[in-house]
Amino acid sequence: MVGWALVPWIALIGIGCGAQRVRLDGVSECPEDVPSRPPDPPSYQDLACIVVAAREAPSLTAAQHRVVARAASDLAAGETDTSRAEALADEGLEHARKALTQEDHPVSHYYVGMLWGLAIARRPLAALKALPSIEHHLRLAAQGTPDEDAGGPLRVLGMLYVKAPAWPQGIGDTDKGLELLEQAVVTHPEHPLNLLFLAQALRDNEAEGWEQRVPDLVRQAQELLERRDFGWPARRWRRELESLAH
Amino acid sequence: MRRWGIVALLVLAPAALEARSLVLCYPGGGVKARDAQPSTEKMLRLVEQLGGWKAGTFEPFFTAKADECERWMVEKKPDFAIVTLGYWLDHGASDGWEPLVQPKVHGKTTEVFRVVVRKGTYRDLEGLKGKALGGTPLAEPRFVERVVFQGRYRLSDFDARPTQQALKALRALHERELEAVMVNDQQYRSIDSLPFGGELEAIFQSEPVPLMGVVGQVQRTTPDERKRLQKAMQGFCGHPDGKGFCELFGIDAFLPANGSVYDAVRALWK
Repeated sequence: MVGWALVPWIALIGIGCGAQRVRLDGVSECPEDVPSRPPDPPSYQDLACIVVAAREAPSLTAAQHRVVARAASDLAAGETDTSRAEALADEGLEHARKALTQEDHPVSHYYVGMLWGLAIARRPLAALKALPSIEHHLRLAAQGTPDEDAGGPLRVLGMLYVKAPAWPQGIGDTDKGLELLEQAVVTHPEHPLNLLFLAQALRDNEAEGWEQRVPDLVRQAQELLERRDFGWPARRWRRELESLAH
Repeated sequence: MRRWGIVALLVLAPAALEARSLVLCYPGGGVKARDAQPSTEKMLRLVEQLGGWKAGTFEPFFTAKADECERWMVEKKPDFAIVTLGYWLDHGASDGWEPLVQPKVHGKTTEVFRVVVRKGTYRDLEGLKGKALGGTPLAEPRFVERVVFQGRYRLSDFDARPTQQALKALRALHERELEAVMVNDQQYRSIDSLPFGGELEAIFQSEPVPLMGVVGQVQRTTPDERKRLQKAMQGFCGHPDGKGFCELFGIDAFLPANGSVYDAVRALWK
C-alpha cells in the first residue's frame, strides 16, 4: 500500500563506496603557498595548484582551509568522473571541517554542508543518516552568509530539500526547496547555477508552469555563461543546461 | 562423468543467465523515479548476490505514477514486482502474481490508516461528508473505499483531493485548505515531529491491513526462482550491506508471505 515501508526503503538503498585521494595531472609551476582568497575565475590549473599545495602544507589557517575546500568543490563540479568528483569532495570536506574547528564561520558551514552532500551523494545510507547534520550546516550558512557564492547557501539548501526523501522518511520538502531556489534566483540572477538548479527542480517536480519557465531559465543561464568566464566548474553546467534544453 | 557435467551446464546455462525484470511501483510516495532508479539497482545487486544470480540479471523499472505502473505491469511483462496491496487486489490473483515476502515493520506485518483533522473540528467521517479530504493513500480510490473504509464510505462522499506528498497535505490541513487528511502508520507516527502536529487528532482508524511485499509472476518464473528470491529477501536484513537499511527504516525482517494473510482483504475486495 501507499504507506508500506518497503518501497521508500528500497528507493534509498545503496552500498557504500570508498574514496581515495585524486591524482591531479597536467599541473605545473604551482605556487607553494595556499592563497587566502579563492581564484576568480577558477581555472583548472589554479584550483589543482591550491589542492596540491595544501597536500604539502604543514599547517593552514582557517581562511586557507576554506580556500582549499572551495577549490576542491570547484574541481569536483567540473569533473566528469563521478568517483573522482566524490574523492575531491571528500578532500574538500576535510578542509572545511578543519576550518570550522579553527573558527566558527558561516562560510565554513556552507562548505561543510555542500561538500558533505557531494561526497555522499552515491552513498544513500550515509546520506540519509547525515541529512539532518547537512541541513543544520546549510541553515547556519543561509542565516549567516546568504550571499556567499552568489546565493550558494540558499541554492544548496533549496536543492537539498528538493532532492532529499520526503517527510516522513527524510527532510525533503519540495515547497520549501522551490521557495529557496526562487529566492536565490531573485537575489542573485547573475549566477547561472541558481537558474540551472531552479530549472532542474521545476522540471523534476513538474511544478506549475514548468514547461514555460524551464526554457527561459536555461536560455538566461546560457547567456550568462556566454558573457562571463565562470571557469572550470562551468564545463559541467553547460552540459547540464544542454540536457535540460532538450 | 566430466562430459555429463559440461552437458548439464550447457543445458542449464540459458535459464541461469536469463535476464529478469522487476517493476517497482510507488504511487503517491513522493519519491522521484530519477532518484530511485540507481538505488533500486544497487538493492537488486545485493538480492542477486544473496539469491545466487549473476550480477546484472535483474533489470529494475521504478515508477511513482499509478497509471505508469498499470501500463508497465502489462507492457514490460515483469517477472517480479513490488506493488501496492491495492494493485495486487485489483490484478494480482487474476494475473498470476504470487506474494513472496512481506516486511515486518516495527514488530508488525500490518498497518493502520487514519483520518486526521484539526482538533475539535469533526468527530467522525459522517461529519466530514462533502468536505475536502487529502492524503497520499487517495491515489488508490478503490483500495480506500473497499479496504480502508470497508465499503462504508465512497470517496465521492467527500471532496477527495489526492496528494503526492503527505507533508503538503498536512500543511494544507493546518492552513485550512483541507478539512481532513488520510495518513498511513508511518506518517501518523511522525506527525508529532511537525510544528503543528499537536493541533491534529485522528477521528477514524481502519482495521489492520496486511503489508504487501514482493510478488512473483507464476507463468514467467519457476517455483525455484520464486523460492530463491524469497530466500534472498529473507536474508537481506541479516547481510552487512542490508542490515543498516533494515535498522534505519524499522524493518525487522522480511517474512515469507503466506497467501492466507490476504484472505480477509480479498474478501473485502469482492
